[in-house]
Amino acid sequence: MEASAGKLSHNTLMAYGLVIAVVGTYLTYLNVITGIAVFSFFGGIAAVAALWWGSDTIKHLCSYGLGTGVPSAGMIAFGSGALAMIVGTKFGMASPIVTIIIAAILGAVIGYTANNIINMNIPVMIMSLMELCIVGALTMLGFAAMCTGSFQFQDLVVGSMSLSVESAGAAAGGAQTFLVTAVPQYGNSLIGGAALAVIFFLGALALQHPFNACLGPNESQDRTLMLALSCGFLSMIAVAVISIVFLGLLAGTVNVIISLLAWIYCYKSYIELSKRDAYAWLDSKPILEVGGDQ
Amino acid sequence: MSALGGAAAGGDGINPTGAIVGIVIILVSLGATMMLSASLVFPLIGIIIGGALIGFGVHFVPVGGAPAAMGQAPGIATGVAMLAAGAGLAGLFGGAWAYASPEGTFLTAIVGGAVGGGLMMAITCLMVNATYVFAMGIPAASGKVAKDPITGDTFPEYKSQGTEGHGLPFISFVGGVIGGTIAGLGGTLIYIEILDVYNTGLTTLLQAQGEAIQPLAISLAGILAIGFFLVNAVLAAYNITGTIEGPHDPKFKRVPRAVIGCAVASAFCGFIALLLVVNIGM
Amino acid sequence: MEEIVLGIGITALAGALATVAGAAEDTESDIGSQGDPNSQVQLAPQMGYIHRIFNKAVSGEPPAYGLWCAIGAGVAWAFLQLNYNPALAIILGSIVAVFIQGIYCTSGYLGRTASLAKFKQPVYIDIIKSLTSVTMAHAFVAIFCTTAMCYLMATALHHPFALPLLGLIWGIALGAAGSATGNPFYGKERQYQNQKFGAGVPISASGNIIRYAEGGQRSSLDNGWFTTKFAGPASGICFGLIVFLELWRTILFETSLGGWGAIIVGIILILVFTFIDRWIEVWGRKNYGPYTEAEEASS
Repeated sequence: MEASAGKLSHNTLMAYGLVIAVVGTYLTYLNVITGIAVFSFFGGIAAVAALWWGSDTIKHLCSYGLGTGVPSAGMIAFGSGALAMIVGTKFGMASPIVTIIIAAILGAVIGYTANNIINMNIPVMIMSLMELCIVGALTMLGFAAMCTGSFQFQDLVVGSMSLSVESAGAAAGGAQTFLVTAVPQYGNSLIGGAALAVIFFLGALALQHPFNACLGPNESQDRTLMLALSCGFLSMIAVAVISIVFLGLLAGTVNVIISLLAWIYCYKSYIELSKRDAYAWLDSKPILEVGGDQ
Repeated sequence: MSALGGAAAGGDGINPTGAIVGIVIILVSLGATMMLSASLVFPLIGIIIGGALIGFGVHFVPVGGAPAAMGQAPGIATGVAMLAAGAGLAGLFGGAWAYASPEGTFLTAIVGGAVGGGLMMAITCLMVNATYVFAMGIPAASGKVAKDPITGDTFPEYKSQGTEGHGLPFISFVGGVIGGTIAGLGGTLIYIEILDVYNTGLTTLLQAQGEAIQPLAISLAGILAIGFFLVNAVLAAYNITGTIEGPHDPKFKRVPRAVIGCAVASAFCGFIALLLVVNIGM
Repeated sequence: MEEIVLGIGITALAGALATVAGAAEDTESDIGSQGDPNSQVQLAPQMGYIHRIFNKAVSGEPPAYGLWCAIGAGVAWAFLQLNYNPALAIILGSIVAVFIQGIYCTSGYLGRTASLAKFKQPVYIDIIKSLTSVTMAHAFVAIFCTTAMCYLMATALHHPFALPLLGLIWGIALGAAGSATGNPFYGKERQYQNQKFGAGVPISASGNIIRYAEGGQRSSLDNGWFTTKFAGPASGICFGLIVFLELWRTILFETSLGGWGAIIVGIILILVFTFIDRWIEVWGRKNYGPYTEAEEASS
């Protein structure tokens, strides 16, 4: 498979993806400042930006001929990214930055292992695995922030910070009361209830699907990236449905509507781009024989 | 087989520089953990052993890839990493259950996990052979050896024309079961080490009661165990480069560097995982 | 005693659900042509054989089913937190998962086929229109049964893992079992139906898949019928046995011999299956015989 030369260079995508992901995650802090949880969807936008960047990284890496398929790159990205994200959320307001640092070091070590100990000897391996680990961590952090309204460890393990009084019972992760010394219950939270595993795998498949699905001689960068956005917003829909539990009906519905609209737009664009690139766009027509043996 | 001009992947041997740097990384991880808290060193050693076992076990599983789906190559027609993950996670399911039961001890849990993984691979390999023999009418034959090392069956005359073999010869079946067992063992070992550390660590970190923390620690340990599993299995899959017939395959000689690689990756990942309960940040 | 009887009843129900899930999973992956046999569908246009098969390029079956079942279980868990009825929660979870699965299927087909424009493979929109709903229906059965099975394990059998984590684990195992058992049957017997029965496909025939079938041009819809003849039930038995025996040996024997009872039973089961496999292998060799005469010099 050859790497197609796209209009956007990989470094441009990396810069945009990284900045939007970090800014988006920090924007969820508006929840705390304003006191309502509707700003959680910024976390989803952050995650989609990371996936958008990561799909180009996978294309970059897999064009060197890994010997295994594309899906394994997505698995290793999120296997290491999940670890970096969980540890990174411990650092309070600096969590996104620390997550990136931890993920970069982790990805570098794994990349070095793959390149020099397993002897894969691919020139971009270490850099790509660093990027993939960061992408995995940022995607999970973004979706976790979207789901619970916060990116800090203490909020991810006891449920949301929804401040709407009437839904304090369900939304606050099972705690008896709100903002009073209560006995927190950990089993109903995003991490305690293992809903993080859903985010883990949503991201793992959304990361590798764009390049895997558009694989072929006529792969074009804009179509692959549009599919990346589409997969990202599709995953955002699933996360938004789960966020209804942690954020209450209003914020959860806002999440669902935003993800749905964004996904519809991206998916329609993807279909248009496929129509543009396809050899022919036929409806109920027979096989066009081109002369292979039968 | 690199498409864009990268250097060809090394042969089957160990890269000395890489191995030495790897061992340095393992020692640094152990040393840093020792400095943070001496009680965390043994769990980290357990995690390193678990990761190395996963890397080792994945090499036993017979995977034929796309040609196996057409009866052109022996092995199971699925991807290496995910087939091993399926077996290892089924083992983890059993091991975690054994550990949570009142009679559960460390030993019964990891051996239970191993047996769970082996049982899943045994049933899967059995059904694969049933498909080949009863539904497709194709007897099992290996393409890499002329005689089965265990049963002595000869293969060249049972290989259909134009193919590299097909089905699961007995050595591949045994390899699959052993692979599932070892992978399940490694995965459950990692899970239990992380669970024990988090049970005590999170109780202190979050100032909460032991029983309340239990579901949180279990979920965290489960998610992280799956993450560790995927990283190690994919590294082993990179080592195998796609397909392997089982322990009799010449590619099996590549095992040492995979074991070292998985140990290095698990050491550093384990160090990061243990940072969660150490008193920095929060 | 009642605990064990209830446990056995739940185990049997879980095993039955797992069997249905395995059969539906394999049928779905063959209608959509996913996984390793799909590489032939991808290869065919490059060798000049244009086709009307649904080229669903969504990774392999284990990660894909890991995701669908994780979504199903995760959304079900979320609705259970809101105190919905468990059956309703599982259905809603499966619906969300199936919606996502359907979109992934269509995007896989469009992406791969559009990227094969150089080899003149057209995008046939009527394939998407007619087949997507069929794959989604089969996937719904598989996801619903797996999620229900995981719910039983979490609540009735008191497994320590939370529901979404169980969904992920069993989804990956479901995909691995179904993929291993069903892929050769679809790949060789259906895609290469014109090759000689009882032998593997020679390498020279790669890419020359069946495109014209019994009544005209082959559609992937016919693969569903074919799969249910063997590969679907076989995958169902495979996954059903895995789930049932795993639960059975734990429920009955985990308290005996200080926890070692379950392990010993597990080892005995592995030996039983090894014995059966060896019998099948020998039966095949004896009844089918060699393709050529054994040479004198080979030893």
